[in-house]
Amino acid sequence: MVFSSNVFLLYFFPIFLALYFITPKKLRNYTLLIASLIFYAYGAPEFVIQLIVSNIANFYLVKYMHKSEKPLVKKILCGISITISIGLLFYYKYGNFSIQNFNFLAGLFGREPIEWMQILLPIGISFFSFQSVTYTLDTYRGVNEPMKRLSDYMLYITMFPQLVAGPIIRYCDIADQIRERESLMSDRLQGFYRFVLGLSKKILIADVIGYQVDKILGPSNYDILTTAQLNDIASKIANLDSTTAWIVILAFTFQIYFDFAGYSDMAIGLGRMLGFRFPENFDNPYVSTSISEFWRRWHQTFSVFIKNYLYFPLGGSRVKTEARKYFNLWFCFLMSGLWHGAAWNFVIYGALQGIFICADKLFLVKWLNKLGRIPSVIITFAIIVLTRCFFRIERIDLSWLFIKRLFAFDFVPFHFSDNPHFYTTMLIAAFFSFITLSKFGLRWQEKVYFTEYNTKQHIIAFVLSLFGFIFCLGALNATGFSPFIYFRF
Amino acid sequence: MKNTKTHIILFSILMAILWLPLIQEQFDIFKVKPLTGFTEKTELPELTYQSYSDGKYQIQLEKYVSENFGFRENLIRIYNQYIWAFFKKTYIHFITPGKDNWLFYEGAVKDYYGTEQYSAFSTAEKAKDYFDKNVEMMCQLRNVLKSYDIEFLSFMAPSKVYVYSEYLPRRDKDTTTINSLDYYSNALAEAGFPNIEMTSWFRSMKDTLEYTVFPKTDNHWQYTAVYGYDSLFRFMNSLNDFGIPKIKYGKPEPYYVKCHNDEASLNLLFPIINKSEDYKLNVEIECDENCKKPKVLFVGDSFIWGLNEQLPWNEIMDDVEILFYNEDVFKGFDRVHLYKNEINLLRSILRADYVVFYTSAHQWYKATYKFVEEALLALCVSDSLMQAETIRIADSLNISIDDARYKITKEPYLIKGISNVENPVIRNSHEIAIAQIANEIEEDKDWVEALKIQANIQGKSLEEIYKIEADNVLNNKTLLRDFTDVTEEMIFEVKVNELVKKWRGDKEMILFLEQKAKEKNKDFETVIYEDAKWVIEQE
Repeated sequence: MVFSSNVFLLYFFPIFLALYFITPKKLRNYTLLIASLIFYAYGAPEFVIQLIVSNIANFYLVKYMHKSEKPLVKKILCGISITISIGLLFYYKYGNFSIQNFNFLAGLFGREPIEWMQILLPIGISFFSFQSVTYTLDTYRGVNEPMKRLSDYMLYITMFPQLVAGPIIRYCDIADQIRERESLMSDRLQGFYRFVLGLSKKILIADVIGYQVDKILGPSNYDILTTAQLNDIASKIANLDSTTAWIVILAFTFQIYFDFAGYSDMAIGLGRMLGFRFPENFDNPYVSTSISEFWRRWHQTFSVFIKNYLYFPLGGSRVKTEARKYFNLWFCFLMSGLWHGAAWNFVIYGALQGIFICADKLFLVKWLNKLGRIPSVIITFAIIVLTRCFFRIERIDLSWLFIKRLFAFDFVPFHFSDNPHFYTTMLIAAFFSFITLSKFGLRWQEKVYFTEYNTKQHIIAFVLSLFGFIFCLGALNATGFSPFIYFRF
Repeated sequence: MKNTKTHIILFSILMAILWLPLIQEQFDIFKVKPLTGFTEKTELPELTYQSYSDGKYQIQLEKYVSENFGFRENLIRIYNQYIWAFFKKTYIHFITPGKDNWLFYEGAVKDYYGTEQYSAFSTAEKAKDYFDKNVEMMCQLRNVLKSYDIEFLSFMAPSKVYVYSEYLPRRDKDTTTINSLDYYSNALAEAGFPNIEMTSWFRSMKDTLEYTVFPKTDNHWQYTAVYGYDSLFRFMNSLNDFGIPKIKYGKPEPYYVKCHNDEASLNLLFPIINKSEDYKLNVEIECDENCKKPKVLFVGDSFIWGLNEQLPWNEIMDDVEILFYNEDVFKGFDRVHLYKNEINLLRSILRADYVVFYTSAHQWYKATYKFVEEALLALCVSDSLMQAETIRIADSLNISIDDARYKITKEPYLIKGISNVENPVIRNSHEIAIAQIANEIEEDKDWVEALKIQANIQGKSLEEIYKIEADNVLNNKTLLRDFTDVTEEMIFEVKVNELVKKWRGDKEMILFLEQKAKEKNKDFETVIYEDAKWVIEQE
């Protein structure tokens, strides 16, 4: 189920909220767990049993691991638990990709290809697999006690607000909240405001911009396209003038931010309505003055995960050689790229990010600092925009073709009146992406997102949110439906 | 922070509002103005293990909810109004807003800018070849029809995009394509084919007219249709001095309309123009002792509806049949709706005194919607010849029989005897004779009634029975008309069936009966037959 769908907004959401709040406090976790399983089962019927079974297995493995006093047994059980989580992720996410590449190589050497059935990707697997890894490792490292009840563990993994696209919540961050939390009316209200803010980002900004991007670059997932459709996209790209090419990639840069940040807002807002405090996932990434800063501000829970569970285990920066340090950094970003999708374009995207991160450490940050804040933001943003070509266009040849069109310098006059809705939305997206460059913007952000509202503020936010909710429902139904980009990762 | 009274009140309001669409959907408490447009809604899907596991249930449920949730209409109107007010934009794919609130058809705008053609032809050369072939076939069909005293002509209705191009949205014009309107006008004139081109005329006249040729917010002509049809009937008369009644009209007079069709389809909260005006001409039909009303077969697009909306068409014509886009059929002045496969094309053509191909300027690249091809095949190629030629073409092109049959419908020229001559040398003589007799039968009401009963008894379509009866006439066999074992019940049943058929073609009646079925908790079929029986009994 998708947050920005009618079934969720008009059926699931009101019915769940009513049931949740009339349930006695002690039993609310059960209501939430059942709702979460329904939520997942609705969208991925073929995977729900597997989700439950793997969770049960993991819960007991970690329980025995914790009880065991022998370090070797602990290590083995921890290894098995992580193998289950990562193994499933690898099988579903990278099975097709691995066999495709193996068959390609086999073909080069005149070998017969392996026959295999296309594996379907369970929705949200990249997110809940990571959460189960944090549970295992945090318990193994002694950061937290394991959950006493299976239902609490299941809830941690499957909680619907963050199940399919994060934020990736570390076990240590939420364990106490699952056991006990307070649900204040003001939190419920502020959670709803945040939810509507996210919904608006998705429907009123990301979808409006994305519609124009898709017109030229096709749908974001090229796996579903026929050869004829891919050829059509190729011909559209080949015939692009530079003005349109820049507008398209700029548009995608805003689209993906508002789409994903919108989802995160909705997840955080829903969580708050239920009494949870989920970690923030975005912190104005486009005002970053370097790529390193960008990755501290973009998809923060993912960056934290990679840092804690991949970068540090590799040795982090405490390694013998400088080369190894840079390799660790680069490797982490390569893996981040691959996490986004099992395709070579994502590998290149990750590798490029890694190269820029290393360049940051070596010289780029110093150089950007000398230029001053605004030029640094512009240069960093330009790098982000350019590397997005590999993120959005899933065929490397087409990505290159697109980049060539960007630098073909055959600019044509630009007419705002050709599509005022799209351009205005782009301007709004740009405004909100860069507003925190000013102190005024930062103050407002602090007020809107992170302050406890007083009565007057509540009334204003309530009216605006209701209006926004109604408006989004209208937009959703007047324009049709679109899923979130990050759902497939 | 503590829960305050305000928090509790606000949260209660929130829950109430979240539940409101569900409650409205279930109990329909508030009256909501329906949206203009397609109204058939998805049914609530049945939840089965199969439909759930293959994801069909979820897709259908999303569709169902999006089409049925409470206050959907209001919410859509709110958003539509917002994008209209701020961006002059609509999500109605076939409508394009122009400057100063003018509305155009997207297809027409694309045609004007030269991009629509690419949906049918990849290059201008291919388009030219197709247009040339089409003009050639139109001339051939005209020659064939001439031999049956039927006039075939064309009428290019005006297109708003060409008449008011100054209000079009800005786009780049594709200069690599050809303009089908100009191309056809010249080609038909060169070939000597009778044709009226109205766009140029209206374009030159628009500044002298007191009111606009087209309403700002609609793409169909209103009062100007009278000028167009007056020209058409005069032109038809000039071809063979048939004696068609004359149209007399006065000055256009304004009258208030709430909302034009195209504007209504935008589903806005507020009208684009506060007081939309339309204009009507007072029309009188003059018919002296020499005048004669023709039977006309029209083939074309929605511009034909100006004829019955603006004129008393039954005073001008004796009978009318409309092949709407050569797909749907509207028969007679009551516009009884039939599908193409329910009629005999040959009979429809031979019944007419005039066959008029009319279409608005921007649709000309679609040629005659394959009418000319179908008509040539029907008039020239007998069943046996068609069979033989299909086999020959399949063999010569090394394709299957089915492919050959399909190819012939697209390219009748493949059949020997039609191609490369001004007037095809072959004729579908037997079928034509049958069709002509069937048309004569149709003129005799008693005979038709008798055949309807026979059709009912034999479980055949009326068209089949006409064919059998015409064959009986042609071969001096006993006529079906002369069978006497007909009961009152049989006649009653025929009448009921006829009325049901008529109602099925009437959208308003269908809606009314659907509502009635819902209210009475009966299925639609029961209600339509019960009502038809009641009406016939009253007669």
